[in-house]
This record gives sequence, structure tokens and C-alpha cells, in this order.
Amino acid sequence: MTAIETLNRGSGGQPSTETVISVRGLVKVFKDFWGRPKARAVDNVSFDVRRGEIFGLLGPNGSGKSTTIKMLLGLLHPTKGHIEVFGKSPRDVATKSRIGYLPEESYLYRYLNCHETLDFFGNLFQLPDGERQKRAEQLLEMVGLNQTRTRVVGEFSKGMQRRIGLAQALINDPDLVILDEPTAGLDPIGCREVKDLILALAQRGKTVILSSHLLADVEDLCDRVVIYYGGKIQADGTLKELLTERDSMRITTPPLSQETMQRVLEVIRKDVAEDKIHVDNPTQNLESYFLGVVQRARAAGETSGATSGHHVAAYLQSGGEGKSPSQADKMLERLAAPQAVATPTISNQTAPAAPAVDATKLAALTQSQPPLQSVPTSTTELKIDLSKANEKLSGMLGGDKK
Amino acid sequence: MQQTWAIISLTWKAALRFRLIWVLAVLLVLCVVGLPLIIKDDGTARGLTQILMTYTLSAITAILGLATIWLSCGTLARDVEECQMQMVATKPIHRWQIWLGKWLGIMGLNAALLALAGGTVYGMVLFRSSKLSEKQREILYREVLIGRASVKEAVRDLEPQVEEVFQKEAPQRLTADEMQDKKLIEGFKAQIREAYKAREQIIRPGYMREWKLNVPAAQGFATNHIVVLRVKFMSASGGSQSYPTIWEVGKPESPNQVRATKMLTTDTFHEFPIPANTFEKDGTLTVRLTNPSQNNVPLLAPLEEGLEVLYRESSFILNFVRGLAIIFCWFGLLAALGLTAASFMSFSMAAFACIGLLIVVMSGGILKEVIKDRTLFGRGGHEEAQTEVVWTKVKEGVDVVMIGVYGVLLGVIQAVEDYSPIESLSSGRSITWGQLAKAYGLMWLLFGGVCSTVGIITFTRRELATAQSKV
Repeated sequence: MTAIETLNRGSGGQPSTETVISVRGLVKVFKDFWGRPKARAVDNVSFDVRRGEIFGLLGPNGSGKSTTIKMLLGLLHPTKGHIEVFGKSPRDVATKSRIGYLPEESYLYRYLNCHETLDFFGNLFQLPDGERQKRAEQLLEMVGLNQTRTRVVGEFSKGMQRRIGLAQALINDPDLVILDEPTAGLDPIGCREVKDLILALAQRGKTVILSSHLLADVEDLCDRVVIYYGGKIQADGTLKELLTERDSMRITTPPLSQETMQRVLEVIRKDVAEDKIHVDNPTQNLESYFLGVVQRARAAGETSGATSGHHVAAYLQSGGEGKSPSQADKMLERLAAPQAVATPTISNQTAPAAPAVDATKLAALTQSQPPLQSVPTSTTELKIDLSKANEKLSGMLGGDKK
Repeated sequence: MQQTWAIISLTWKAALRFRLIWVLAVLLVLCVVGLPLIIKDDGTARGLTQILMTYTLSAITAILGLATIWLSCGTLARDVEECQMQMVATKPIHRWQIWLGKWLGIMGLNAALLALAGGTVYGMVLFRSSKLSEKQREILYREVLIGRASVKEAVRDLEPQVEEVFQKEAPQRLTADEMQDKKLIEGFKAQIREAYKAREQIIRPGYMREWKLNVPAAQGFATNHIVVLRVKFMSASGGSQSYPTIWEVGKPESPNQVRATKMLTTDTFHEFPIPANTFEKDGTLTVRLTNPSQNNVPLLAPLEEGLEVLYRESSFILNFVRGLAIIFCWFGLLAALGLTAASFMSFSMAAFACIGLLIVVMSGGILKEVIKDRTLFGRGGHEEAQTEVVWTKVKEGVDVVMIGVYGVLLGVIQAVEDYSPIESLSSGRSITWGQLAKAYGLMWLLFGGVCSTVGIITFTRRELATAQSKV
């Protein structure tokens, strides 16, 4: 049973209780030629990954993320501990037909071109000829490499290699997608597209394991994370559990007049000491800003650079090709839209370390600020961006362009 | 099969895109066309064959053999080192399929290159033969460009007689202690054996040696069927000298028996045709060699190669194809060896190990010497008294292990050497379907099977993600 079929039965793309991966007491010790322990890369790690969730492995370089992934894939053997993937050993060959894997670097055959690469991996999944060709075409279109299908992979930039690597990871319509640093080497637009794709996959019932040391990627995407350091899990849980500061609050409103602001502060000061109150303008992150600028420029026809904004391969879409959008699709449109607008962080990101309130600053904050010429922060522009991004995502996901 | 086929075509694409196949093809054609131009033959049929068959086929085998080892080590070890194997092994394909796909891919390339080289050799033979004299051309087509079967007299098992004599003589000649010395007993038996062999081989002046050979196929021979006697003898005086010899072929007293006196040189193979009607109805051929009294020196006809009957069995082209098939069989073993080494070693180490092993194989004579002497360290030599005991024990330990290893290696080498098609092709000997089947059984099923099993098990158990990409 594929994930799409599972999803259409009504899971709605939300993480279920079904365990896809179970890891218990995992230990990996690398040994030297003489069998002496050299490095304890993974040390007593346990976690579960449930179907439909995006699970993040977070940690600095050398913390054991990739080693864990390679044990999940059967490329390394655990020194101790137990791993089950879809209830079977990670070395079970049949199980691998349900897994898509993107390694941390391009490990593709440099002498094959894009189409041959996808054809080769499609053959390993025993896809029939017609289906293999169709999927290869759709994936090349999706990752923006349909113009370079005859160029050998060895000639590609790192970003292009990443794209073809991602395409091969999806050729089998996998139930479990394991992505090791998926956005490494990609430009910001490419990063956003990959992140949108990951969200789309998860919403279609796929389980995604994302390993990254890029905090923004993990924060944007993951339902749950484990944080590695020194081969051990230092923290785990949902992002909300991990990131919520329960001893402080934030209220976000449109700009207020100075009088209103003073009144609000007066009320707050009755319960909170003066030095505990911070007032500031929320800021968006650089990614949102960058995407806004590029989108504006593109709308004005000012770019001749890399192509982007292609459709998700039809076979990856819920319900398959030629079918009307399912409930899950519609839900995905709704859920994914704010991400695609590149503004999800507007209300989440704050400027660093705001000073305690002072009257001068408060006066400045309460003044109505004119929007910067090139920054899409006004209400009107934000609406335009939202609609464009929504349209793009709808296109990518193959749903209605609402 | 789809997955294995994907690996096969990947191997071909790699060879094509890295231009390896083109380089090898050009090299092989240059070798086949160029060698006869550089090395001039003596204008005889045998000289032409020596260059065109022996030299070029040996060169082709060497080039393709080395390329096979290089390619088989590289195709697997580099995939592991450069981490592409991580992408393949995470797909639903068994490791044995990857291994087999690589092997089949390499063998496909070998088949194409061998067909190209073989075709060029055949073309060159036809082209160059047109430049020979008419007499030499006749010899070429009668003795060389032909598939000739060979029949020798069955070598008698001397062991029962050796044992009988030993049991009779040993109690009288050896003490009770000496009877416990295995080396001494073996030496005693060897002397008895040599005495019997000498009796079988030596033809004193004025005496005659008779061979009876059974050639069942002779029952169907036409009167003009090509039949040749191939003989070799030595003299007790040693060196290379010519002696008159009297040959009688056919049933004694029969009208079909032929008799000839020939002046022949010792230590050299001689071939002369005999009529097909000298065979008896049941295919028996009687050959007598008389050492005339005036020679005054005993002649010695070796048991293994003293006399041989060669007769036409198949066409040259069929024989040539079977010969190439045996060379192809060698490549299969080499490819399995290379892949097995690459299953647990890096590319450089695997290539080094395989080429090292090939050098050992080519120095089979050294192995024979070591096994004969029962030591790696040679006889004689004295050490300082204090270190002598320890050193002797170390040497004995090394000898025990290495003699065993060398014994196995030599056994394999000799078994493989028995299937050398180049000598057969250049001497016009038939390579039978039976020999071909035995070669494949021995080299592919037995040696290749053991090698592949070790390689596949090792590769299946190997951790593929310990290597770091160098790309």
C-alpha cells in the first residue's frame, strides 16, 4: 500500500500513531584496523518516527546524525541496539522499495546525464519502462532540470546535483523519505522550493526524516526533532515543546497610537516589573525578505537566471494524475499557503535583545513608518505576494489556483 | 533481472564514457596488426603461425587480462570509495545482484573486445597466408589451420609394481628405524619408480619399442584423411644430435604396414604423415621404433610425450572459436578475482593484490621448487647457536603454512594451465567441446564459484558508508 492510498483512506496528512521507524539503544563505535575502538559516533540513542511526520535530526557537524541515518539505511551496522524500519531490519531488501534517500553529498554517477540517472535508479526499483520514463520527465520538470537532461551530472553545480539527487530520491514514490542536508548548496529559492516540497510530501502521508545543522530548515519544517551532540540525544520533542518560552508572552498588533500604547503599558506595569517589558517591531527573516525581492523582480521580468517554480510530479500528487484534488490536497493548500508566501516568520521572528522600554523609543515605535521602497512589508504588497506564492504552490502541488 | 541489467548497462556506460573500451579496442587492433609487421616470420607456415597465433593471442590475453583485473577492481572499489554504492545499496537490489551485474558487465565488454581481436587475428592469418609459398601453404592448411585430435598411449600405472618391489626389498635393505622414516621410504620408492620408467622408456641399440594406440574415430577415416605422427626422443649421450631411426606403422605382417627410415634429431618434436589405412578395423594403430645397432647409444622415448597420433577432427574456425572461448573463460576467473578483492579492499590495494597474485601464478616454477624442497628458506646456512633454535621453529612454522598455500596455488595454476588454448591453436590441435566444458566447469564453476562466493558474502556483509567521498 502506498502512502497516497493510505492518505486517501482519511489520515488527512497528519502524523499518525503508526510507527515507521523504531530505534532502541543504538550505539555505533567505529574501530580501527586492529579492531580497537576509535570513535563512539552514536551513543545509546532511542527514538520513534511516526507515519506522516517530518522528523528532524539536528546537531552540529560530527554529532552522529549522518551515522544514524546510515544505520537506518543499512549502510552501517549498529554496534549495539535495535532498529526497525516498517517493522523490519534496515537491511531487508524489500523494505528499501518504500524508501527514498538523499545523501549529504552528490554521490551520483558523474558520467550519466540527468535522464539516465533517473532511468538507472528507476530500473533498480523495477519500474516498468513507460512509468519510468514518465516519472523521470515529471521529476526533471519538478526540479527544474528539464532543460539540461542531456548534460552529464559531473558537469553540474552543487545545487543542480542536489536537485537531481532529490529527484532520484522520489522516483519510487517513497513512503519514507530520508533527506540528509537537503538544502545544502541550494540558492534561497531552491531552498524554499525544497522545503515546500518536503511539506507537500508530509501532507500526503509520507514520512520525512530530515537531518540538518541548518536551524532554519528544521524550524520551518519539522514536527518533532531530536538534537544530537557527541553522539547522544540531548533533547527531543515537538518544536512547540522545545521552543516555547513559558515564562514570557508576546502580543502582536498593527501599529498603535502613542496614547493607546501608554495605556497598554500602564496596565501591564501593574503586574510586571518595568525591566521585564520589551516593546519592538517584529522583523521578518532574511529568507522572507530575499524571496520577496526576487519575486517582485521576477514579476517585472528582470531575471534570466535559473528556472524555478515547477510542478510537483503528478505521480507524487495525492490521488494520482487526472483526479480531482482530495481532501488532503485542499488541506495542504490551506496549510502550506502561509509557508509559500515566505512570510511565516513575520510573527515568529523578533529582533535580537530589545532594550527595556524608554519613552523616546516608544515614541519612535508608535509613529507610522513608511514602507521601504524595495521591501514587501506593506499590507497591499503582502497581499500581492501571498496570492502569487499561493498560486505558485498550488501550481506545484497540482491543486486549484485559489 | 531488470536490476541486474541496470548494473550491466551502467558498467558498459562507464567503460564507454571513460573511453576505456575505445582505448582497448585500438590497442588490440594495433597489437594484432602491428606485431607481425615488427616481428618478421621466416616464411614458413610454422613461423607465420608462431607470430600470428602465439604472439598476438598471448598479447591479446595479457592486455585484456590486465584490463579485466583493472576494470573489475575499479568498477566495484571506486563505487564504494566514491560513495555511489551508497545510492545503489539503499535501493531494493540485493548485493549479489550488484556483484553479478558488475561481473556480467565486464564479461560483456570482454566478449566484444575478444571478438574484435579474434576476428582481426583470423583476418590477418588469411591475409598473410596468401603470401606463403605453395608448399608452406599446404603445410599451413594440413598441419596448422586445422583442428587435430590427439591420441597418446595410456600411461601405465606403475604404483602396484613399485609397492610390490618395495615390500619385497625394503625389509632386507632398511633397518627398523629407517622403516619409520617417511622421507627415506619415499626416496626408496622413487628409485624403484624411476627404474621401471627407464625400462619403459629406454630403447637400447638393436632393440625396438612398440606402441599400441586406440583411435576409435579411425574407423570412419577416408583413405585421404590427414593423420600425423608426432614424435620426440632423446639419447643417452645427451645434447642435440641426429640419429637414424626405423619406423614401422600398421599391423605387423599386414600389407598396409608402412616402414620408413628417418634421420631425426633428439630433443625435438617431429611430425610426419602416415596413411589412414594403417589403422586396424577396430581403430588400433601399432607403431614400432627400432634403434639400429650402429647407433651404439640408447635412445629414450619419454612416456608422456614420446609418441602421439594427430588426426583431423574439426575445422580451424570452429577450433579457433573454442580457443577464444577458453581465453574468455580465463577472463571470467580474473574478473571474479578482481571483484572479490574489491569487495573488501580499496581499488589500489585490490589491483595490487590481484596483479601480485598473477605474478605468483606466472612464476609457477618457483612454487614447484619450494614444494619440492619443502622449505621457503633453502637448504643449508647456519645461524648463531643462541638464535638457532628459535629461528628454526619460526622457519618450520612458516614452512608448514606456506607449503600448504603454495600447494593449493600450484594445484590451481596447473589445473588452469592445462587449458591453454594458445599452444593448441598454434600447433593445430583440436580443442574439443569436452575440454571447453571442463575448462568452464573448473575455472567458472569451481574456482570462480569459490571466489565469487567469498566475494559476494564479503560484499554483502560490508559496511558501505565508512568510506568518504573523494569527489
